[in-house]
Amino acid sequence: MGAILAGAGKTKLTSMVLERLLNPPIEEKRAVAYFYCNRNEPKRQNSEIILRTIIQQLSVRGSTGSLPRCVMAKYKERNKDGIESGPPGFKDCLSLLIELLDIRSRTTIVIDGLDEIDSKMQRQDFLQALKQIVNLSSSLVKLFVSSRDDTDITLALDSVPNLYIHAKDNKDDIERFIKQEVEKSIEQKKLLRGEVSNELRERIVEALIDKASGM
Amino acid sequence: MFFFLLPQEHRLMDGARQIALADTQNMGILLIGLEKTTCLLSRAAAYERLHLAPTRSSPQPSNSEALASSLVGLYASILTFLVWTRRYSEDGTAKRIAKNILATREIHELLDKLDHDEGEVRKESELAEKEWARFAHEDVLGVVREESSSLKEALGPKVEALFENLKEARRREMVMWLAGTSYVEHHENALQGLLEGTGEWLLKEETYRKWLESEQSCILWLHGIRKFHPKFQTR
Repeated sequence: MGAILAGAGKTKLTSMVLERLLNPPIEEKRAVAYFYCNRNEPKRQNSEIILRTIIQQLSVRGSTGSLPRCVMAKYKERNKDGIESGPPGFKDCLSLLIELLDIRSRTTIVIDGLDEIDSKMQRQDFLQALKQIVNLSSSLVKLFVSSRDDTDITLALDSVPNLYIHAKDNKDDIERFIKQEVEKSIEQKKLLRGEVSNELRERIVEALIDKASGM
Repeated sequence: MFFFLLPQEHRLMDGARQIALADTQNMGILLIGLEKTTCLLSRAAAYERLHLAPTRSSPQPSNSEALASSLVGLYASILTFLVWTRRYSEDGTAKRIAKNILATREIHELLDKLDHDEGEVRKESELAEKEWARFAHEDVLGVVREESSSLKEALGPKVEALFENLKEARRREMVMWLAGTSYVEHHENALQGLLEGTGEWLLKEETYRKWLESEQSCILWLHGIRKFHPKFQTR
């Protein structure tokens, strides 16, 4: 439950924001690309793979149709003389992404869990890349990133607009979550074999909320 | 015998020899002329066959009338020449010698006429040939065009399909080259268990609204809840 509750913080909020962005109330011409980092999966903590996955999302629309010209050009450049050069590296990805963003008038990119990118070096490169994307793109780019308050990330992002999740901010979310989890546990007879009186249930919920707001 | 001739007689004999020589020369030229007419006859027949007897592959040339009349002219000249030659050779030597000088001129005129008429025929037939060549060229072009369009019809869809396949393969190759990792299910997983109303407060935050509505590129950083380790466990 700890992991789920922690997820109810940044990742849950991020997924909620992303869901809103993917399904805008009004038809908006805005491409959305995203990535959920995860320190438990090697492919989800590599800065190069993150950029490639985002490029892929912005290049491939549907199963057919040609790829953007800049992607094909980069591919040809990297695979000239018929020698395969492997996937584009971090720097190539960054320049390609900036070119790709310029094709569209507006793009939103959501990245969850910057702190889960492996190695401080990669994280630093990635944070710099994010700033370059915003500074160098001639079209409108909105980046939504979430992370823990790790020092290196704080130092890199302290000047950008930010939303700090205070306990009071998601108190309602936590209460709602705790109540639901307790209900579910009782219904599924996981908690005291389901034999919980209404009074006891309220006391459990209260105690949990108390603990949660003290974090 | 000539050793006994007087100078006067000698001169006389000399003149006679010259006349006889001229006659022999005329006869020689006529022989050459005869040979020439034989050649001309067969050549004229060939021209006639080539240009004036239309077949399916070579239609009547547009100058056929001019060609025919030039051929008639040539045949007429040949006939004139032959008639003249016959008459001349039937004459006795004395009679021939009598009109010797005149005959030489006439022979040359007749031969010139033959040359001229053959030239006319050749000119017309060259024209006809050029026309035929153009016709043949157009014909070949037409055949090529027809063939290529039917080829295109037959191969077009296949070539197109091949091209499409190639494009598709190229595209797949490039997508593979770009491919990062899966991402859709990560979002779906994150959404699971998301309660209705969760995070509504965030959407109302001014910072969020400003980020969303800004007309300038910008980053929004969501952070916090660093230490959150509830000890409570359901199992």
